[in-house]
Amino acid sequence: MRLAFLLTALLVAYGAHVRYAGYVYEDGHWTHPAALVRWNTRPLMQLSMLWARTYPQVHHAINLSLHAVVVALLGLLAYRLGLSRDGAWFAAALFSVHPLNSQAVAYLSARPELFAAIGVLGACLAVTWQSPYRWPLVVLALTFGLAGKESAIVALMLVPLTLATLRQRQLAGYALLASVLIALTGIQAYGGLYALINRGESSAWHGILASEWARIQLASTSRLLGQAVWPDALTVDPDVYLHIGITSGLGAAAVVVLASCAWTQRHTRPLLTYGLAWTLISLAPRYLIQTPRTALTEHQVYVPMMGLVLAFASLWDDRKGSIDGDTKESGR
Amino acid sequence: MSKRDVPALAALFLLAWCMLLTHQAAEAWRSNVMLWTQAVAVAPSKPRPAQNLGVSLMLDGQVSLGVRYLLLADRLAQLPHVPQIDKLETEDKARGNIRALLAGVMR
Repeated sequence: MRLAFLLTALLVAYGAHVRYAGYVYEDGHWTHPAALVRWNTRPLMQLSMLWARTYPQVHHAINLSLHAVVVALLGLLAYRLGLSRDGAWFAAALFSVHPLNSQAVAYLSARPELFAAIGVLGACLAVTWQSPYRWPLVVLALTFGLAGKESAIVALMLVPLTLATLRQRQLAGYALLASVLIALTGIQAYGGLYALINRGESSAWHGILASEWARIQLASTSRLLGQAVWPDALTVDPDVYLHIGITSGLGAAAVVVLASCAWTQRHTRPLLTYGLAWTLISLAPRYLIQTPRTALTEHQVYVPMMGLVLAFASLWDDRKGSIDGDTKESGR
Repeated sequence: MSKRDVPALAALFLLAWCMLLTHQAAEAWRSNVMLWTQAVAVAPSKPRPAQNLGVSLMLDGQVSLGVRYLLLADRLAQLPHVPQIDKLETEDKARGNIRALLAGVMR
């Protein structure tokens, strides 16, 4: 029943798109014959394009299938982490049809994000199994993710987070480690910014300040978190410069609020902490690897979005559990 | 309806709402014209969506409408909040677009 609902929801949301959509925006880069033989850091994407070269419908169906795999893995991870069956199902269902994920699914060029998500979730799921093969499986999943997209590197921080949450350990030590890693990432980002800028696509990239770069990404973070809650202005090309002073301030405030919530709820609601920490950790490297002058886009928050969904589903599950408990009490 | 049903109904309502919004959002990715039409609607003061919509429309055969969006992009590039880099990019792209269009016409 639940599976049928999930499949129906996916088909209602994306069925017409799979049937009628063509190649758009930068898809031509991947569908061009030259792209298929050129060395690329995303071999899984290249292989998948080789496999089904001609029809856009086939490519859109592949994207939707990969998204379905991600949804299944997320539901399984939620269950393994301690959510009830209903809670895990709700997490999977919400992620499957959340509009913020539509760019990652509907845009063919965003397929590497789906591969990376499978790798990250696979690694986190593998670590929850009590099996001697779990670490080789973690490595295998991570390798798969990295072959999809370099952003799968966040699994290196998400796997220990999963382990810490699963064993109900105090998260303080882990939070310290994560903070150090994030700080190092930040320092590297700042230090490497000049080199990064000079690798840019045109000489016009010169002259960007690190502070401006940070403001662009914070403004984008604020927009994307807003769209996660109220997805009414999804777009391929947002105007992040409009009111950037306010939006970047809101972005910084949102990050601080999420981190504070994660910290204060670590004992009472470990899964809420897990979800919020997942979001922040998987978002952090985005500030480093983002091409200067380009803002975070919707498909790039596909993995961070999982954390928000898990956090929300854990709250829903708690609420449902308490109502069920109350009803049983009053029934006695 | 009992109190126990409230979370489940709320979840179903939320999922149905998300499903409809996702359907709409995915539809925007059907073609370049639809994609950039939506981008212009969401960011009406940004030059790039207008410019890309102009080119998409022209390649789609809607030349006069396309030209109007290209002119709009040029005007938007002069707005004070648009950074210098985007103004330069708009000019660069305008030249590239003319070349692409000429190549399309020649074919």
